[in-house]
Amino acid sequence: MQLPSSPSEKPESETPLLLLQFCILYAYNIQNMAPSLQIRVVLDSPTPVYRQVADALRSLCVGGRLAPGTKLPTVRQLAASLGIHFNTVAEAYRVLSDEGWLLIEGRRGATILDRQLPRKPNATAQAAASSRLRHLIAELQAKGLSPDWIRHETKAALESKLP
Amino acid sequence: MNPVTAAHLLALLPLAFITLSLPWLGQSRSGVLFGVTVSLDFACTPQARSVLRSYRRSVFLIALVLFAIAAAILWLSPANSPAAALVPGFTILLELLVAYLFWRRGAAAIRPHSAAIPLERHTDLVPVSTALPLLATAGSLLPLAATALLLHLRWNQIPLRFVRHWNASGVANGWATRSFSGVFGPILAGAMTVLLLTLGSFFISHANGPQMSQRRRALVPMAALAWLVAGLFCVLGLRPLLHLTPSTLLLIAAVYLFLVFGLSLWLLRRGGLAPCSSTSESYDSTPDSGWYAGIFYYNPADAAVLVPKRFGWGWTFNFARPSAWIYLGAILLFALSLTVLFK
Repeated sequence: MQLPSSPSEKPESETPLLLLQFCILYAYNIQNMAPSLQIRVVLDSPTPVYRQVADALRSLCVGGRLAPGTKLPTVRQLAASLGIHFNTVAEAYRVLSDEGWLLIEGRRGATILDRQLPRKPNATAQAAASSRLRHLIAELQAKGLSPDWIRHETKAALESKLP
Repeated sequence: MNPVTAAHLLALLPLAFITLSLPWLGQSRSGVLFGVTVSLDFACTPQARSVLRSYRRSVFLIALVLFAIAAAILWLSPANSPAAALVPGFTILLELLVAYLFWRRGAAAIRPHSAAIPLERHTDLVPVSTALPLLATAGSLLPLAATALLLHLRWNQIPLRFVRHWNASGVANGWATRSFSGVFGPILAGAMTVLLLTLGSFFISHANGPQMSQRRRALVPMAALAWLVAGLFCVLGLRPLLHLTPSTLLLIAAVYLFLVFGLSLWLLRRGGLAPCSSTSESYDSTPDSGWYAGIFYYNPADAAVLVPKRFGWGWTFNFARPSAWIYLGAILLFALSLTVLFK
Protein backbone atom coordinates (compact mmCIF):
# COMPACT_ATOMS: atom_id res chain seq x y z
CA MET A 1 0.00 0.00 0.00
CA GLN A 2 1.31 3.40 -0.92
CA LEU A 3 1.39 5.95 1.83
CA PRO A 4 0.02 9.42 1.03
CA SER A 5 2.82 11.72 0.05
CA SER A 6 3.95 14.22 2.66
CA PRO A 7 3.82 17.98 1.92
CA SER A 8 7.60 18.00 1.67
CA GLU A 9 7.39 15.73 -1.36
CA LYS A 10 5.40 18.34 -3.29
CA PRO A 11 7.34 19.66 -6.27
CA GLU A 12 9.13 22.81 -5.21
CA SER A 13 8.01 24.76 -8.27
CA GLU A 14 4.38 24.69 -7.07
CA THR A 15 5.10 26.12 -3.64
CA PRO A 16 5.46 29.83 -4.57
CA LEU A 17 2.29 29.63 -6.66
CA LEU A 18 0.33 28.04 -3.81
CA LEU A 19 1.75 30.59 -1.40
CA LEU A 20 0.71 33.41 -3.73
CA GLN A 21 -2.81 31.96 -4.07
CA PHE A 22 -3.06 31.62 -0.29
CA CYS A 23 -1.89 35.23 0.25
CA ILE A 24 -4.40 36.60 -2.27
CA LEU A 25 -7.29 34.63 -0.77
CA TYR A 26 -6.23 35.48 2.79
CA ALA A 27 -5.88 39.19 1.98
CA TYR A 28 -9.30 39.25 0.34
CA ASN A 29 -11.02 37.23 3.07
CA ILE A 30 -9.49 39.19 5.92
CA GLN A 31 -11.18 42.29 4.53
CA ASN A 32 -14.52 40.54 4.64
CA MET A 33 -14.01 39.17 8.15
CA ALA A 34 -14.22 42.54 9.88
CA PRO A 35 -16.74 42.51 12.75
CA SER A 36 -20.18 43.32 11.43
CA LEU A 37 -21.69 46.57 12.69
CA GLN A 38 -24.82 47.09 10.73
CA ILE A 39 -27.20 49.99 10.62
CA ARG A 40 -30.64 49.78 9.08
CA VAL A 41 -33.00 52.44 7.81
CA VAL A 42 -36.59 52.18 6.63
CA LEU A 43 -37.10 54.58 3.74
CA ASP A 44 -40.89 54.79 4.05
CA SER A 45 -40.97 55.11 7.84
CA PRO A 46 -42.69 58.14 9.41
CA THR A 47 -39.40 58.76 11.26
CA PRO A 48 -37.07 60.83 9.04
CA VAL A 49 -34.16 58.82 7.66
CA TYR A 50 -31.54 61.18 9.13
CA ARG A 51 -33.01 60.53 12.59
CA GLN A 52 -32.96 56.77 11.99
CA VAL A 53 -29.27 56.96 11.08
CA ALA A 54 -28.52 59.13 14.12
CA ASP A 55 -30.57 56.83 16.40
CA ALA A 56 -28.82 53.72 15.10
CA LEU A 57 -25.35 55.21 15.56
CA ARG A 58 -26.22 56.57 19.01
CA SER A 59 -27.52 53.14 20.08
CA LEU A 60 -24.24 51.56 18.98
CA CYS A 61 -22.29 54.19 20.94
CA VAL A 62 -24.42 53.78 24.07
CA GLY A 63 -24.18 49.99 23.84
CA GLY A 64 -20.41 50.24 23.64
CA ARG A 65 -20.21 48.59 20.22
CA LEU A 66 -18.74 51.75 18.72
CA ALA A 67 -15.79 52.45 20.95
CA PRO A 68 -14.28 55.95 21.28
CA GLY A 69 -11.73 56.52 18.55
CA THR A 70 -13.59 54.36 16.01
CA LYS A 71 -13.53 55.87 12.54
CA LEU A 72 -16.91 56.05 10.83
CA PRO A 73 -17.25 56.03 7.04
CA THR A 74 -17.34 59.40 5.34
CA VAL A 75 -20.73 60.96 4.70
CA ARG A 76 -20.59 59.98 1.02
CA GLN A 77 -19.43 56.41 1.75
CA LEU A 78 -22.24 55.77 4.22
CA ALA A 79 -24.83 57.42 1.95
CA ALA A 80 -23.66 55.32 -1.01
CA SER A 81 -23.83 52.09 1.02
CA LEU A 82 -27.35 52.82 2.20
CA GLY A 83 -28.61 54.22 -1.08
CA ILE A 84 -29.70 57.50 0.52
CA HIS A 85 -28.82 61.14 -0.10
CA PHE A 86 -25.53 62.31 1.40
CA ASN A 87 -27.24 65.34 2.96
CA THR A 88 -29.30 62.88 5.02
CA VAL A 89 -26.15 61.28 6.46
CA ALA A 90 -24.52 64.70 6.92
CA GLU A 91 -27.55 65.81 8.96
CA ALA A 92 -27.35 62.64 11.11
CA TYR A 93 -23.63 63.23 11.73
CA ARG A 94 -24.38 66.86 12.65
CA VAL A 95 -27.01 65.77 15.19
CA LEU A 96 -24.54 63.34 16.81
CA SER A 97 -21.78 65.94 16.70
CA ASP A 98 -24.05 68.42 18.51
CA GLU A 99 -24.73 65.74 21.13
CA GLY A 100 -21.00 65.24 21.59
CA TRP A 101 -20.77 61.73 20.17
CA LEU A 102 -18.87 62.51 17.00
CA LEU A 103 -15.98 64.57 15.80
CA ILE A 104 -16.59 65.42 12.14
CA GLU A 105 -13.34 65.59 10.22
CA GLY A 106 -14.53 66.73 6.81
CA ARG A 107 -13.46 64.42 3.98
CA ARG A 108 -11.75 62.05 6.44
CA GLY A 109 -15.10 61.01 7.90
CA ALA A 110 -15.96 61.13 11.57
CA THR A 111 -14.54 59.70 14.79
CA ILE A 112 -16.45 58.49 17.82
CA LEU A 113 -15.63 60.63 20.87
CA ASP A 114 -15.22 59.49 24.44
CA ARG A 115 -18.53 60.43 25.97
CA GLN A 116 -19.06 57.74 28.61
CA LEU A 117 -20.09 60.19 31.34
CA PRO A 118 -23.48 61.72 30.57
CA ARG A 119 -23.55 65.47 30.46
CA LYS A 120 -25.78 67.11 32.98
CA PRO A 121 -29.03 67.56 31.04
CA ASN A 122 -30.58 70.98 31.10
CA ALA A 123 -34.26 71.61 31.76
CA THR A 124 -35.12 72.19 28.08
CA ALA A 125 -33.53 68.91 27.01
CA GLN A 126 -35.35 67.07 29.82
CA ALA A 127 -38.68 68.59 28.79
CA ALA A 128 -38.10 67.68 25.13
CA ALA A 129 -37.13 64.10 26.04
CA SER A 130 -40.13 63.75 28.32
CA SER A 131 -42.46 64.99 25.58
CA ARG A 132 -40.90 62.62 23.01
CA LEU A 133 -41.21 59.69 25.40
CA ARG A 134 -44.86 60.43 26.12
CA HIS A 135 -45.66 60.70 22.41
CA LEU A 136 -43.89 57.41 21.76
CA ILE A 137 -45.78 55.64 24.56
CA ALA A 138 -49.08 57.02 23.23
CA GLU A 139 -48.16 55.82 19.73
CA LEU A 140 -47.29 52.34 21.00
CA GLN A 141 -50.52 52.10 23.01
CA ALA A 142 -52.46 53.22 19.93
CA LYS A 143 -50.91 50.26 18.13
CA GLY A 144 -52.33 47.91 20.77
CA LEU A 145 -49.25 47.34 22.90
CA SER A 146 -49.99 46.99 26.60
CA PRO A 147 -48.46 49.26 29.29
CA ASP A 148 -46.92 46.14 30.87
CA TRP A 149 -45.19 45.23 27.62
CA ILE A 150 -43.91 48.81 27.16
CA ARG A 151 -42.64 48.85 30.76
CA HIS A 152 -40.91 45.50 30.29
CA GLU A 153 -39.29 46.49 26.97
CA THR A 154 -38.18 49.88 28.33
CA LYS A 155 -36.58 48.18 31.33
CA ALA A 156 -34.89 45.57 29.13
CA ALA A 157 -33.59 48.27 26.76
CA LEU A 158 -32.23 50.34 29.64
CA GLU A 159 -30.51 47.31 31.16
CA SER A 160 -29.00 46.06 27.91
CA LYS A 161 -28.17 49.56 26.67
CA LEU A 162 -29.18 48.30 23.22
CA PRO A 163 -32.21 49.14 21.08
CA MET B 1 -14.17 17.67 -36.77
CA ASN B 2 -14.29 20.03 -39.74
CA PRO B 3 -14.18 23.80 -39.07
CA VAL B 4 -17.80 24.34 -40.23
CA THR B 5 -19.17 21.81 -37.70
CA ALA B 6 -16.91 23.27 -35.00
CA ALA B 7 -18.11 26.82 -35.81
CA HIS B 8 -21.74 25.64 -35.67
CA LEU B 9 -21.14 23.99 -32.32
CA LEU B 10 -19.47 27.14 -30.99
CA ALA B 11 -22.45 29.22 -32.11
CA LEU B 12 -24.88 26.79 -30.48
CA LEU B 13 -23.04 26.54 -27.15
CA PRO B 14 -23.96 30.01 -25.81
CA LEU B 15 -27.47 29.46 -27.13
CA ALA B 16 -27.74 26.15 -25.26
CA PHE B 17 -26.41 27.78 -22.10
CA ILE B 18 -28.93 30.62 -22.28
CA THR B 19 -31.73 28.15 -23.07
CA LEU B 20 -30.88 26.16 -19.95
CA SER B 21 -30.51 29.18 -17.65
CA LEU B 22 -33.63 31.07 -18.83
CA PRO B 23 -36.05 29.28 -16.46
CA TRP B 24 -34.15 30.81 -13.53
CA LEU B 25 -34.24 34.31 -14.93
CA GLY B 26 -36.34 36.78 -13.04
CA GLN B 27 -36.79 35.57 -9.48
CA SER B 28 -33.65 35.32 -7.45
CA ARG B 29 -34.53 37.77 -4.69
CA SER B 30 -36.49 37.34 -1.51
CA GLY B 31 -39.38 39.72 -0.94
CA VAL B 32 -39.94 40.14 -4.68
CA LEU B 33 -41.53 37.57 -6.94
CA PHE B 34 -42.01 38.29 -10.65
CA GLY B 35 -41.29 41.95 -9.91
CA VAL B 36 -44.07 42.18 -7.30
CA THR B 37 -43.29 42.92 -3.66
CA VAL B 38 -44.52 40.02 -1.51
CA SER B 39 -44.04 38.99 2.09
CA LEU B 40 -40.69 37.30 2.76
CA ASP B 41 -42.25 33.86 3.28
CA PHE B 42 -44.69 34.05 0.35
CA ALA B 43 -42.22 32.48 -2.10
CA CYS B 44 -42.36 29.27 -0.03
CA THR B 45 -46.16 28.95 -0.25
CA PRO B 46 -47.83 26.43 -2.60
CA GLN B 47 -49.40 29.25 -4.70
CA ALA B 48 -46.01 30.87 -5.33
CA ARG B 49 -44.36 27.53 -6.08
CA SER B 50 -47.11 26.68 -8.54
CA VAL B 51 -46.71 29.99 -10.48
CA LEU B 52 -42.94 29.57 -10.43
CA ARG B 53 -43.15 25.97 -11.68
CA SER B 54 -45.52 26.94 -14.47
CA TYR B 55 -43.20 29.82 -15.52
CA ARG B 56 -40.10 27.64 -15.54
CA ARG B 57 -41.82 24.82 -17.44
CA SER B 58 -43.26 27.13 -20.11
CA VAL B 59 -40.03 29.09 -20.60
CA PHE B 60 -37.94 25.92 -20.77
CA LEU B 61 -40.22 24.23 -23.31
CA ILE B 62 -40.45 27.27 -25.61
CA ALA B 63 -36.71 27.93 -25.33
CA LEU B 64 -36.02 24.29 -26.17
CA VAL B 65 -38.25 24.46 -29.27
CA LEU B 66 -36.54 27.70 -30.39
CA PHE B 67 -33.13 26.13 -29.78
CA ALA B 68 -34.09 23.09 -31.89
CA ILE B 69 -35.30 25.34 -34.73
CA ALA B 70 -32.11 27.43 -34.57
CA ALA B 71 -29.92 24.31 -34.56
CA ALA B 72 -31.77 22.91 -37.58
CA ILE B 73 -31.45 26.21 -39.54
CA LEU B 74 -27.76 26.45 -38.65
CA TRP B 75 -27.05 22.87 -39.69
CA LEU B 76 -28.99 23.00 -42.95
CA SER B 77 -27.91 26.47 -44.15
CA PRO B 78 -24.71 26.93 -46.20
CA ALA B 79 -21.60 27.75 -44.17
CA ASN B 80 -21.25 31.34 -45.37
CA SER B 81 -24.90 32.38 -45.51
CA PRO B 82 -25.73 35.55 -43.55
CA ALA B 83 -28.70 33.71 -42.02
CA ALA B 84 -26.33 31.29 -40.28
CA ALA B 85 -24.50 34.20 -38.67
CA LEU B 86 -27.70 35.88 -37.49
CA VAL B 87 -29.57 32.82 -36.19
CA PRO B 88 -27.91 32.49 -32.72
CA GLY B 89 -28.30 36.18 -31.82
CA PHE B 90 -31.85 36.34 -33.13
CA THR B 91 -32.82 33.17 -31.23
CA ILE B 92 -31.34 34.52 -27.98
CA LEU B 93 -33.38 37.72 -28.39
CA LEU B 94 -36.51 35.70 -29.13
CA GLU B 95 -35.93 33.46 -26.10
CA LEU B 96 -35.44 36.49 -23.84
CA LEU B 97 -38.63 38.06 -25.20
CA VAL B 98 -40.59 34.85 -24.56
CA ALA B 99 -39.15 34.60 -21.02
CA TYR B 100 -40.12 38.23 -20.40
CA LEU B 101 -43.69 37.69 -21.62
CA PHE B 102 -44.09 34.65 -19.36
CA TRP B 103 -42.54 36.66 -16.52
CA ARG B 104 -45.19 39.35 -17.01
CA ARG B 105 -47.86 36.61 -16.94
CA GLY B 106 -46.35 35.39 -13.67
CA ALA B 107 -46.44 38.95 -12.32
CA ALA B 108 -50.17 39.16 -13.10
CA ALA B 109 -50.74 35.92 -11.16
CA ILE B 110 -48.71 37.13 -8.16
CA ARG B 111 -50.08 40.71 -8.00
CA PRO B 112 -53.17 39.78 -5.89
CA HIS B 113 -50.72 38.55 -3.21
CA SER B 114 -48.59 41.71 -3.16
CA ALA B 115 -47.73 43.03 0.28
CA ALA B 116 -46.68 46.41 1.64
CA ILE B 117 -43.26 45.73 3.10
CA PRO B 118 -41.11 48.44 4.71
CA LEU B 119 -38.40 49.62 2.30
CA GLU B 120 -35.49 48.67 4.50
CA ARG B 121 -31.85 49.24 3.64
CA HIS B 122 -28.86 48.21 5.69
CA THR B 123 -25.11 48.43 5.55
CA ASP B 124 -21.98 47.52 7.45
CA LEU B 125 -20.35 50.42 9.23
CA VAL B 126 -16.90 48.91 8.87
CA PRO B 127 -15.89 49.78 5.33
CA VAL B 128 -14.57 46.95 3.17
CA SER B 129 -11.61 47.91 1.04
CA THR B 130 -12.13 47.23 -2.64
CA ALA B 131 -8.57 48.08 -3.64
CA LEU B 132 -7.43 44.48 -4.09
CA PRO B 133 -10.14 43.25 -6.51
CA LEU B 134 -10.02 46.57 -8.40
CA LEU B 135 -6.25 46.26 -8.74
CA ALA B 136 -6.69 42.66 -9.87
CA THR B 137 -9.08 43.82 -12.60
CA ALA B 138 -6.80 46.65 -13.73
CA GLY B 139 -3.82 44.26 -13.46
CA SER B 140 -5.13 42.37 -16.47
CA LEU B 141 -3.68 45.25 -18.52
CA LEU B 142 -0.22 43.84 -17.73
CA PRO B 143 -0.34 40.79 -20.05
CA LEU B 144 -1.68 43.10 -22.78
CA ALA B 145 1.23 45.49 -22.21
CA ALA B 146 3.66 42.54 -22.28
CA THR B 147 2.15 41.35 -25.59
CA ALA B 148 2.47 44.85 -27.05
CA LEU B 149 6.12 44.96 -25.97
CA LEU B 150 6.79 41.55 -27.53
CA LEU B 151 5.18 42.65 -30.80
CA HIS B 152 7.27 45.81 -30.77
CA LEU B 153 10.49 43.87 -30.13
CA ARG B 154 9.76 41.33 -32.87
CA TRP B 155 8.36 43.86 -35.32
CA ASN B 156 10.63 42.61 -38.13
CA GLN B 157 9.38 39.02 -37.73
CA ILE B 158 5.79 40.08 -38.41
CA PRO B 159 4.76 39.38 -42.04
CA LEU B 160 3.91 42.41 -44.15
CA ARG B 161 0.41 40.98 -44.67
CA PHE B 162 -1.25 38.44 -42.38
CA VAL B 163 -4.67 36.80 -42.03
CA ARG B 164 -7.08 38.64 -39.75
CA HIS B 165 -10.32 36.74 -40.36
CA TRP B 166 -11.53 33.39 -41.62
CA ASN B 167 -15.01 32.40 -42.77
CA ALA B 168 -16.93 29.47 -41.27
CA SER B 169 -15.30 27.06 -43.75
CA GLY B 170 -11.84 28.05 -42.55
CA VAL B 171 -11.00 30.07 -45.66
CA ALA B 172 -9.18 33.37 -45.04
CA ASN B 173 -11.34 36.36 -45.98
CA GLY B 174 -9.73 39.27 -44.14
CA TRP B 175 -6.12 40.52 -44.02
CA ALA B 176 -4.20 43.07 -42.00
CA THR B 177 -0.93 44.81 -42.83
CA ARG B 178 2.15 45.37 -40.65
CA SER B 179 0.99 48.78 -39.50
CA PHE B 180 0.30 50.25 -36.07
CA SER B 181 -3.47 49.64 -36.27
CA GLY B 182 -3.04 46.24 -37.94
CA VAL B 183 -0.66 44.90 -35.29
CA PHE B 184 -1.69 46.76 -32.13
CA GLY B 185 -5.42 47.03 -32.93
CA PRO B 186 -6.46 43.91 -30.96
CA ILE B 187 -4.25 44.93 -28.01
CA LEU B 188 -5.83 48.40 -27.92
CA ALA B 189 -9.31 46.89 -28.16
CA GLY B 190 -8.44 44.51 -25.31
CA ALA B 191 -7.05 47.36 -23.22
CA MET B 192 -10.20 49.40 -23.78
CA THR B 193 -12.41 46.45 -22.82
CA VAL B 194 -10.37 45.88 -19.66
CA LEU B 195 -10.57 49.61 -18.83
CA LEU B 196 -14.33 49.47 -19.31
CA LEU B 197 -14.51 46.46 -16.96
CA THR B 198 -12.33 48.28 -14.40
CA LEU B 199 -14.50 51.40 -14.60
CA GLY B 200 -17.59 49.19 -14.36
CA SER B 201 -16.17 47.46 -11.26
CA PHE B 202 -15.41 50.83 -9.69
CA PHE B 203 -18.91 52.07 -10.43
CA ILE B 204 -20.55 48.86 -9.13
CA SER B 205 -18.60 49.04 -5.87
CA HIS B 206 -18.93 52.77 -5.27
CA ALA B 207 -22.24 53.91 -6.78
CA ASN B 208 -24.98 54.99 -4.43
CA GLY B 209 -27.46 52.18 -3.86
CA PRO B 210 -28.49 49.23 -1.71
CA GLN B 211 -26.75 45.83 -1.47
CA MET B 212 -23.26 47.35 -1.28
CA SER B 213 -21.69 44.21 0.22
CA GLN B 214 -23.26 42.03 -2.49
CA ARG B 215 -22.07 44.42 -5.16
CA ARG B 216 -18.55 44.34 -3.76
CA ARG B 217 -18.58 40.56 -3.90
CA ALA B 218 -19.24 40.85 -7.65
CA LEU B 219 -15.77 42.35 -8.09
CA VAL B 220 -14.01 38.97 -7.93
CA PRO B 221 -15.85 37.48 -10.95
CA MET B 222 -15.37 40.84 -12.73
CA ALA B 223 -11.61 40.51 -12.19
CA ALA B 224 -11.73 36.92 -13.50
CA LEU B 225 -13.64 38.13 -16.56
CA ALA B 226 -11.08 40.91 -17.14
CA TRP B 227 -8.24 38.35 -17.13
CA LEU B 228 -10.16 36.07 -19.52
CA VAL B 229 -10.75 39.00 -21.88
CA ALA B 230 -7.11 40.14 -21.64
CA GLY B 231 -5.91 36.58 -22.37
CA LEU B 232 -8.16 36.32 -25.41
CA PHE B 233 -6.94 39.65 -26.83
CA CYS B 234 -3.32 38.64 -26.14
CA VAL B 235 -3.85 35.52 -28.30
CA LEU B 236 -5.50 37.66 -31.00
CA GLY B 237 -2.64 40.16 -30.81
CA LEU B 238 -0.01 37.41 -31.16
CA ARG B 239 -1.60 35.96 -34.32
CA PRO B 240 0.98 37.47 -36.71
CA LEU B 241 3.80 35.90 -34.69
CA LEU B 242 2.21 32.57 -33.80
CA HIS B 243 0.72 31.76 -37.24
CA LEU B 244 -2.36 30.17 -35.66
CA THR B 245 -4.61 28.00 -37.81
CA PRO B 246 -8.41 28.46 -37.77
CA SER B 247 -8.87 25.14 -35.93
CA THR B 248 -6.44 26.21 -33.18
CA LEU B 249 -8.30 29.51 -32.81
CA LEU B 250 -11.61 27.61 -32.65
CA LEU B 251 -10.16 25.38 -29.94
CA ILE B 252 -9.02 28.43 -27.96
CA ALA B 253 -12.47 30.02 -28.42
CA ALA B 254 -14.11 26.79 -27.19
CA VAL B 255 -11.91 26.72 -24.06
CA TYR B 256 -12.80 30.36 -23.42
CA LEU B 257 -16.51 29.72 -23.86
CA PHE B 258 -16.33 26.89 -21.32
CA LEU B 259 -14.43 29.09 -18.88
CA VAL B 260 -16.99 31.91 -19.28
CA PHE B 261 -19.87 29.43 -18.84
CA GLY B 262 -18.16 28.00 -15.77
CA LEU B 263 -17.88 31.49 -14.34
CA SER B 264 -21.52 32.23 -15.17
CA LEU B 265 -22.68 28.97 -13.58
CA TRP B 266 -20.69 29.78 -10.46
CA LEU B 267 -22.33 33.23 -10.36
CA LEU B 268 -25.80 31.73 -10.85
CA ARG B 269 -25.15 29.29 -8.04
CA ARG B 270 -23.76 32.00 -5.76
CA GLY B 271 -26.51 34.47 -6.64
CA GLY B 272 -29.16 32.17 -5.20
CA LEU B 273 -31.64 30.52 -7.49
CA ALA B 274 -34.34 29.82 -4.96
CA PRO B 275 -36.16 32.93 -3.74
CA CYS B 276 -37.60 30.79 -0.96
CA SER B 277 -34.23 30.30 0.69
CA SER B 278 -32.67 33.69 0.03
CA THR B 279 -31.25 35.70 2.87
CA SER B 280 -32.33 39.20 3.85
CA GLU B 281 -29.10 40.35 2.15
CA SER B 282 -30.74 39.95 -1.23
CA TYR B 283 -33.91 41.72 -0.15
CA ASP B 284 -35.15 44.31 -2.61
CA SER B 285 -35.70 47.81 -1.25
CA THR B 286 -37.33 49.62 -4.14
CA PRO B 287 -41.03 50.50 -4.32
CA ASP B 288 -43.14 48.72 -6.96
CA SER B 289 -44.36 52.15 -8.10
CA GLY B 290 -40.83 53.05 -9.31
CA TRP B 291 -40.72 50.17 -11.81
CA TYR B 292 -41.99 50.49 -15.37
CA ALA B 293 -42.76 47.28 -17.30
CA GLY B 294 -40.85 45.51 -14.51
CA ILE B 295 -37.47 46.38 -16.01
CA PHE B 296 -37.00 50.16 -15.95
CA TYR B 297 -36.54 51.89 -12.60
CA TYR B 298 -37.34 55.59 -12.47
CA ASN B 299 -37.77 57.01 -8.99
CA PRO B 300 -36.77 60.64 -8.40
CA ALA B 301 -37.43 60.17 -4.67
CA ASP B 302 -34.71 57.50 -4.42
CA ALA B 303 -31.11 58.71 -4.13
CA ALA B 304 -29.82 55.29 -5.24
CA VAL B 305 -28.19 55.16 -8.68
CA LEU B 306 -27.82 51.37 -8.85
CA VAL B 307 -30.64 49.11 -7.71
CA PRO B 308 -31.05 45.32 -7.91
CA LYS B 309 -32.78 44.17 -11.10
CA ARG B 310 -36.18 42.58 -10.88
CA PHE B 311 -35.97 40.69 -14.19
CA GLY B 312 -32.56 39.13 -14.60
CA TRP B 313 -29.43 39.20 -12.47
CA GLY B 314 -27.30 42.04 -11.28
CA TRP B 315 -28.20 45.70 -10.96
CA THR B 316 -29.79 48.36 -13.08
CA PHE B 317 -29.85 52.14 -13.13
CA ASN B 318 -32.30 54.46 -11.47
CA PHE B 319 -32.94 56.48 -14.61
CA ALA B 320 -34.14 59.43 -12.53
CA ARG B 321 -30.50 60.10 -11.52
CA PRO B 322 -28.35 62.13 -13.94
CA SER B 323 -25.21 60.09 -13.08
CA ALA B 324 -26.96 56.97 -14.42
CA TRP B 325 -27.27 58.65 -17.83
CA ILE B 326 -23.65 59.81 -17.72
CA TYR B 327 -22.45 56.26 -17.03
CA LEU B 328 -24.73 54.82 -19.71
CA GLY B 329 -23.35 57.39 -22.18
CA ALA B 330 -19.78 56.42 -21.25
CA ILE B 331 -20.54 52.73 -21.88
CA LEU B 332 -22.07 53.51 -25.28
CA LEU B 333 -19.09 55.72 -26.17
CA PHE B 334 -16.69 52.90 -25.24
CA ALA B 335 -18.69 50.38 -27.27
CA LEU B 336 -18.72 52.75 -30.24
CA SER B 337 -14.97 53.35 -30.06
CA LEU B 338 -14.39 49.58 -29.94
CA THR B 339 -16.47 49.12 -33.10
CA VAL B 340 -14.52 51.90 -34.85
CA LEU B 341 -11.20 50.40 -33.71
CA PHE B 342 -12.09 46.96 -35.03
CA LYS B 343 -13.14 48.33 -38.42
